[in-house]
Amino acid sequence: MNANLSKIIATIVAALIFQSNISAQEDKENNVPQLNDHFFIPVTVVPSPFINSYFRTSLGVAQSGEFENVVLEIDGEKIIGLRGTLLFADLDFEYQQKIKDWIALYFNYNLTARLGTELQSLLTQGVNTVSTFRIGWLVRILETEKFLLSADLQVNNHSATFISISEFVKDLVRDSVVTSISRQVPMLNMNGGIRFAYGINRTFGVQGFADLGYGDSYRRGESDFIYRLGCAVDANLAFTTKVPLGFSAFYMSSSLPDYVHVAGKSAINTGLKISYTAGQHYNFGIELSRLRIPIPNVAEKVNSTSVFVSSRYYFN
Amino acid sequence: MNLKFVFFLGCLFLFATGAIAQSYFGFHTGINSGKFSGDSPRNFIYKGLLQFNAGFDFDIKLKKDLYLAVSPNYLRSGSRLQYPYENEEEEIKEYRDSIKLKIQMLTLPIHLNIISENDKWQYIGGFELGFPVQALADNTSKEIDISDEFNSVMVSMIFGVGYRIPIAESYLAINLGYSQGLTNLARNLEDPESYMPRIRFTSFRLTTIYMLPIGKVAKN
Repeated sequence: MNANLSKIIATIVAALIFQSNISAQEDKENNVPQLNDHFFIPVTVVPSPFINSYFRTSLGVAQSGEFENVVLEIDGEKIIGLRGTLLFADLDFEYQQKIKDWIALYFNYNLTARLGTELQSLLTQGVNTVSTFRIGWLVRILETEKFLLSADLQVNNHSATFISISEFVKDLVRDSVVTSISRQVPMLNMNGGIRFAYGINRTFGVQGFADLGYGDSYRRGESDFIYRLGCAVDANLAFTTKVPLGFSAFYMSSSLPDYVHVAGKSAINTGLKISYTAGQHYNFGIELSRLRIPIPNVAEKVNSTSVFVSSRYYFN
Repeated sequence: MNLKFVFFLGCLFLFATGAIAQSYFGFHTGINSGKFSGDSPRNFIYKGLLQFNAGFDFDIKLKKDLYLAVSPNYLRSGSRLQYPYENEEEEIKEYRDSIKLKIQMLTLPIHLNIISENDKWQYIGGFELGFPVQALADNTSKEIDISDEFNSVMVSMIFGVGYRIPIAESYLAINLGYSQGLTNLARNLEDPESYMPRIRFTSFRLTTIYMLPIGKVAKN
């Protein structure tokens, strides 16, 4: 926990250091990123391609549908199958500092937690937390009136803690060794890719990204390729109607370990964001999404419904 | 040994390159708080160890506000290992120092220095190659050489920010940097049955740099 705290403090200190340089930068009337007079609506799971300075937070919870957890299988036959549901919680901070018109540096801290909501799922899935600290560079490659293309490179430092009674019992029965109910897995990986934005007209815009990376797997001694990709289509009504709202439909697929706690699998997130878009320096919204996510010892991906509150303040 | 030869050959090459490009040459010294991260012996935790580093700097100008910097560096760093004990008086769990893991390395950071609009700030991003020379485990009563436990090459990603103070045509810079090891520090531990298969090295560095121009400096 101290390590987590020190990472949060490091992020905030870095933000303050970088922020001291902002006073020298030009103050524009509207800091929300725009192309072709379209002011984009940011979405948590679709990283922004814009080279600007901002601080964002998001806080969300999700509840999974019911799933069957196979506790014991002999010759392909399920001996015990316990049903249950999971509760997910996610907290995310990110600070990005524009250094030049063409380059920005960002820091991100993410904490996800998953736990069984009933005795059965608590026994089989336990309590899992993954904290992630990431640093990355964002570089503008191409910009026209309507289109922006950027590239990013980031390093992700994950620390996962799994508290599982079932795994503890399995280890005892199978290996007859002194084991621990709590298991920690440190992981480090890097990923990089492209991000883009396209302002279709004053109302509609599209953002997207695709990343590929390589690094530690949840399986000890193994490394995996990781990926994430996604896009968002948004409609900002604030500047074409009297309604100060915007809507964004998004899709994201990821195998990054902070998102997917099972090695070699990926999750799919689709959703809708409703956002207040009349702010000239900030964006505030609610993201509702449906998540199809793999969980340990369950063959099928589990459906979950999530609600996120997200906010972003633009400095320039 | 060959790697060290390559390291110094690279330094010579960079010095020659720096001499012909419009660039800066200088030296640096600073303190660093190193720490191992990842797997640790059961119940033990890693804590930072404050040490020092020093070296030379070559800044090769690519654009008005962009330099390619190479900084051959001698780095003393490492990490402390702490073990838990129960404080019965206050009924809390505390950690005490057990062993200091000390590493001496030659490092070769290769990074970009991006200069801010007002020429006062520099932002740093790049990679660093590290070549451990010696590693010691120090438990206050004796030191044990554990160099064989570490890989001969380490790759890190470096980030930082610095403040530049101009002094005539030269300048003094104070850099605050963070280095995140990307490769495993420990040797032959990729075995899944190994006790500690994943150990990385991270460090925070506060460095003072003095840079002198090589050749005639163009006025911006």
